[in-house]
Amino acid sequence: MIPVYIVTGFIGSGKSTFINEQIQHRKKLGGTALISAEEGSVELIKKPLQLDADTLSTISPTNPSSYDTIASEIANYIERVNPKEIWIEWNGMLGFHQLETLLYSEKLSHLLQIEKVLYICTDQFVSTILPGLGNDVASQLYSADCIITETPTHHALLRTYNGEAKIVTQPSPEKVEQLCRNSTWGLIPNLLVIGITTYILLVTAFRHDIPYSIHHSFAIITGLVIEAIPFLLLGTVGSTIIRYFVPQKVLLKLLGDHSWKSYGAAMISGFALPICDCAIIPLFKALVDRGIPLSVALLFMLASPIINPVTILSTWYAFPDNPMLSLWRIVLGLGVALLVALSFRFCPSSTAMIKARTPQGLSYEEIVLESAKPKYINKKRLLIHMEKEFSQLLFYFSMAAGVLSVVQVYGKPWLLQAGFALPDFAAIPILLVLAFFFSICSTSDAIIGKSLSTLFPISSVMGFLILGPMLDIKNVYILKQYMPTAFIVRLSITIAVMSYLAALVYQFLLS
Amino acid sequence: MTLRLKDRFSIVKGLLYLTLGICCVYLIMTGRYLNYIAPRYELLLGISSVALILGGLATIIWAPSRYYKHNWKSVVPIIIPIVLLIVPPVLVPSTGVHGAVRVNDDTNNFDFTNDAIGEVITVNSESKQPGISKDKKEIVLNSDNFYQTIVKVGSNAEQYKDYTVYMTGYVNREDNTLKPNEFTISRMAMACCIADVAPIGMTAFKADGDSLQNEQWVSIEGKVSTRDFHGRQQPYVEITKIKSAEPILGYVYP
Repeated sequence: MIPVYIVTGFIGSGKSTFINEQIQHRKKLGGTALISAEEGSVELIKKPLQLDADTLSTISPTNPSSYDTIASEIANYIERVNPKEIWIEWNGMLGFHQLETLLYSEKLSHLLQIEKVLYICTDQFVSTILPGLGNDVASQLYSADCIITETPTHHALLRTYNGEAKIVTQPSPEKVEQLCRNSTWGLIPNLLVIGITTYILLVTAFRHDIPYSIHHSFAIITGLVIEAIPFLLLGTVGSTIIRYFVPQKVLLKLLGDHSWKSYGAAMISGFALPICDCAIIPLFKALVDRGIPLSVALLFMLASPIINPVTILSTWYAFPDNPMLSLWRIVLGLGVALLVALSFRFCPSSTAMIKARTPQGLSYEEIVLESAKPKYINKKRLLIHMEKEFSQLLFYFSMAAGVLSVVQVYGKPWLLQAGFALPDFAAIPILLVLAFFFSICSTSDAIIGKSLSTLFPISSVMGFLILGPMLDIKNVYILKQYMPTAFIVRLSITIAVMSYLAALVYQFLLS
Repeated sequence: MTLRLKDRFSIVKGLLYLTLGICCVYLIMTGRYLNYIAPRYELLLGISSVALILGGLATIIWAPSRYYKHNWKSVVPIIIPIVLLIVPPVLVPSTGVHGAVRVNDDTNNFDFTNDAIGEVITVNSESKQPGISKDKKEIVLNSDNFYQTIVKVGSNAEQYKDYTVYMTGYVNREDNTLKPNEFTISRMAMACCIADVAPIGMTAFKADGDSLQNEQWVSIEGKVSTRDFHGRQQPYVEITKIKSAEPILGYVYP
């Protein structure tokens, strides 16, 4: 297998200069072959195999005849030159999946191995050109192992395109060589396999030497996850249906102005949309983009996860002995959502100017499907979307379950033994903070709320159930992509204060 | 397209979902899911396991052609439950059991002929019908009606005064307000899942009750009596017959 290094980036970002520098630095000119799909102003140090960008742009993963000829051409070239390594200068406007289709094709996959993908960009490109470019460029950025920039100014923005890549500023040739050598490929899967094997061996061999409390924590995590899987699946299916099958026109007609009709529809439409809190934020953004008033869209975002039928069902399931709690959760939750939304209506936030750029938020498979057949919904795409959403939800839920099991096993006896009886007004803020950090999906947080109710007064659990769907770590994380920090801070404080008051109201109602 | 050219990452993911689905089916088939979640989730869990299996198969069959970047972190959330289900944690503390074999369900054996606690017991080998019988003035608790019956008796104590109670549970002395010869005959109740299990039981009294060990499993016969507890009539059981019982692993559910 010949190692392949891919250098890509917009035209004029300095790909050829970069490759020349690297090859000179490595002093392996003789054993290196170059393939170029770009016709830039800088000549490569060695004559490359020049590929025609127009031909490359017709490559389609589903149509082998679109790349067969080019693949043969490259295979012949490799046979003739017999290089030790290959550097490819990829065209900045072509999809990365087209290069993958080519290199992983029948003719080339057994010859080549992609070693590293480097993306080079200028500051000006990132700030002005990149936001307007489509999925093809996003796919290049997404696939890069290493992103090379002029200054650190736009690193945060680049992160939203690629969360894993190393982002470096003007690296020296030595540094680049080192980056190319660092193996990231296969490290994580290997660590995974090693970690799991060790866990299984330890737990099987030292089963009865491990303290029961540890077993108990794991049992609690298992129980919570098994219980949540059906609700997470339901939430995933629901959000996929909304995303792909409900015409946005219908939504817009209902929510278009500042009238009470719009506010009412924003509050209640969540009942018809079984989506959880993380899925609703992209919809919120879409609504704002289409000119729906911010306060109406905000109300929609905050109310939907609470009035969501799956949430109501799981709350009702979780508190079988207290059906009124489900009702109060809806009433108080909607009240909080309405007050928060109105606070933004009557005291508009000057910082609530929405960022111009929308990151793609698509998974790689979706990008490929999108560029193959734009706006085309097929079963594969639905599956990919659901899978992605489900595994993300499951991840956040498992984390929350882990934290909760530790609280249950180690915190609970301590709390009880110390005779630690918090007054209600003090317990509420604690659970509001927990709701934020647990970041449980709104469709299953009632289950966690139920187990918290053995530790904390029920009014504070109500606070937990009201705040959780509106505000938590994952919501803030998703929202940060769309909204400025000042807006999120104001929103968070308003929600927290309102939820606190709502919990106090509930306590008053109970007494 | 040959398998070689398909994306391996998607195939691995599909296999993991398939495994998770099969694990869930196994839990339902063996009834082990009851150790983790309440029985009313059975249908939902069943539907989910079918969905997971179908999703896993579809992920394998529709795997795209190979691509470069794989987000291996995204398989972690699928692996966590699989590992926890395949290598399950110990669900019961081994020290709490006094050498007895645990049974998964109640035997409904209220025959006090062979009493093990050393009391003179009258012969009573009649098999008992579970539930509340108004004619016989009898309350027989088993795993299925434990929770409901205790809630019922607790909310209407006066009505069940002088009824004869038959129940199996463990001696629970967590309630500090009780005297040394009083305790609660409890079972572990699960409202939703293992994270919220808590004991539920009936307060019981026995003249020499302080000799019973904490967490000892017993079957009892007793009479329902009531007493004032902060202005409310609370039922308690005056034990007339008692014997040790095999610990029951299963939970009781509302």
